Amino acid sequence: MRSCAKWRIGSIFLLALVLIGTVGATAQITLADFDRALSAIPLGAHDRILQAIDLGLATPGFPASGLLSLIERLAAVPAASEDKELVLLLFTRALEARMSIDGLLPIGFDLADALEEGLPVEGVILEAFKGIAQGSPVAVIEEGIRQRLILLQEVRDLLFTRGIFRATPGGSGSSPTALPPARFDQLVVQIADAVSDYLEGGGSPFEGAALYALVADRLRRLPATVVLPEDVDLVLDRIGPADLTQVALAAMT
Amino acid sequence: MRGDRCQLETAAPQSCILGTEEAKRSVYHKQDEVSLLRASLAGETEAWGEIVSRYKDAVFGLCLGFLRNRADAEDLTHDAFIRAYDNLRRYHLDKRFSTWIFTIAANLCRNRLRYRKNHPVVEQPPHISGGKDPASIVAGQDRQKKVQEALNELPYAYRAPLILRFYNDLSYREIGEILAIPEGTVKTRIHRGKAMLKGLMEKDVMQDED
Amino acid sequence: MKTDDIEIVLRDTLRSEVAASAHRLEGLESQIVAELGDRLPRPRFVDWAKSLLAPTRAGRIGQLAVVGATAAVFLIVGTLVTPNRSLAPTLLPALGPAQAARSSHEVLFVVPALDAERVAVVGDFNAWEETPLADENEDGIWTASIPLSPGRYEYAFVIDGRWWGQDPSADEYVRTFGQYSSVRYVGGGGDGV
Repeated sequence: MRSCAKWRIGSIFLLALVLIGTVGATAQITLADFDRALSAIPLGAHDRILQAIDLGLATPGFPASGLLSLIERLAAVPAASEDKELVLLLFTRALEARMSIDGLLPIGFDLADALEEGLPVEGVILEAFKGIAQGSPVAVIEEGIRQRLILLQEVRDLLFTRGIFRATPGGSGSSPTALPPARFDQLVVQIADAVSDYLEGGGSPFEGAALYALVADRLRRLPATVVLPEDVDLVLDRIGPADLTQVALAAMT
Repeated sequence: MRGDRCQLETAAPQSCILGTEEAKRSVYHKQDEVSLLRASLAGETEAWGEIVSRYKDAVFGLCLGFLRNRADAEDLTHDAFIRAYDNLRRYHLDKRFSTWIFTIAANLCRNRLRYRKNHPVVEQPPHISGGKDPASIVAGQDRQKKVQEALNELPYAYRAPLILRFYNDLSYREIGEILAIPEGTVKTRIHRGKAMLKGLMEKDVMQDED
Repeated sequence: MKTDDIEIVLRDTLRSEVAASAHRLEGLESQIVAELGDRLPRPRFVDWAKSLLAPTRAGRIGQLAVVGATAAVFLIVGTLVTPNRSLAPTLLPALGPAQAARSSHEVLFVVPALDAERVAVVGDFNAWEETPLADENEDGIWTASIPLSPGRYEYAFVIDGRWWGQDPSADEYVRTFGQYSSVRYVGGGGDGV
């Protein structure tokens, strides 16, 4: 019995050696590995994403195992597949633009973490698309995205501490300050985006009044289909200039 | 064989005998940076040692400025040089080496700060010896202490460009490359950072006078 | 204190701080050289090389077996997959503010660009992928009419490959990543179309 097993292991070993010898450097990750990993996520743009990865694999220094890990992580995260697809499209666009995605990988994992926390990252990813369209360096895009993700979290936490909650889907929402997820998320997105733009444009985090005015202006100009006027009133009533300063500082620290 | 560095390190005027390590390394003292880097790439870790000795103050100053903590700055200075050596094959010799090593150090610092939930660990500012005259010593020390405390309070995004500009003496462009922000943003942050520093120092003054 | 004085004091303070801590760096080079030992800088394709350096002999055999199996799969898959499978780029998922069936407004984008050969608009509504504008009558005025549901949209034009972010018709401008882009509010309480 034992010698049989030894034979089996030995022959597998031999086969493996032979295959390595003949196939050479195929110990590397292949397109098929990516295809398999992507198939774990329902994707409308599967083919396009795979094609971009194929492009990447042909370039030296392509971080194949890092990207594969990211795809596997995304597959495991409990989040909408549309959001996961957006993250993958970010890498797709970068690859299509012949950018090196090395510097984007950390942000990919940050986005996966953010998705796991239930943060609404669509707008942040759109910002990254903008950066790519502008031809900004990857490092600059990465830094900008990093800051925006921090702001999303900080704004969400601020609303929580001011008693504005995100009702769990299907929950009773009996408390008047528990907003349906879509409405809550839009508030977070719009406030965080306004603060991000302000800071990136050179605004000082210490000018709370200016920040507050900017956020209020943005929220009021948005059509009711994006944010309800009563939600805007609720938020502007509960948060003040000092709060926004704290939020902005958190992103700058 | 007496090396230049040996003379600086020992106050004693008598000749000093270098150990084998030092003798080996003194071969690299006169070499230009590009040769040192090529040697390092070939695995001559002694050549890398010379690179370290040339850049350690600059990298440490960057880390200390960013992190405001001496022990952390020391750790990350060490880490930066190890990481840079490991990644040497990714460095393109046509780019400035200083920019590259500073970027590695800056990224390490940024990641370290991220994982500290609250504000960076603030320690007592290191004792700095001032000028000769007692009155000016006190005044100088006082002012420097205020600067240090204000620096500790400054948000990282404003502090980092200030350090790179006023300690490392880098151009706006280089600072932008290292911190991954556009050049225009660098200028704005430095301008604003100086104003904030001033404000924080004056605030402290007012509090002192209460 | 004048702002210039700040620079001087800042410089002095920073230099003094480092000088005061210089002793901590003594011997750093020796320490690092010792730590690196005979190490070579890492080669690029480190991943697969590392995978062959398992710590134990059994582990190594196991990994080689896996590697061999993967190679076999690759061989099989490679012969099955036709190399000329056309991969037409699929449409992006619908992006933009999350609304289901809202009335959309036709929003007109106008760019006067007399000598341009190619003008396009990029923005939130097309995930920053170019939508071309047209100059039918060749009068140098390029236009596109895009249906947008109410919301706030950031955008810019790309004129012969160059970014142009300050549309005079915009409601506001933002400056991110060092460049301007334009914003329009569509529908709702704003001044949008």
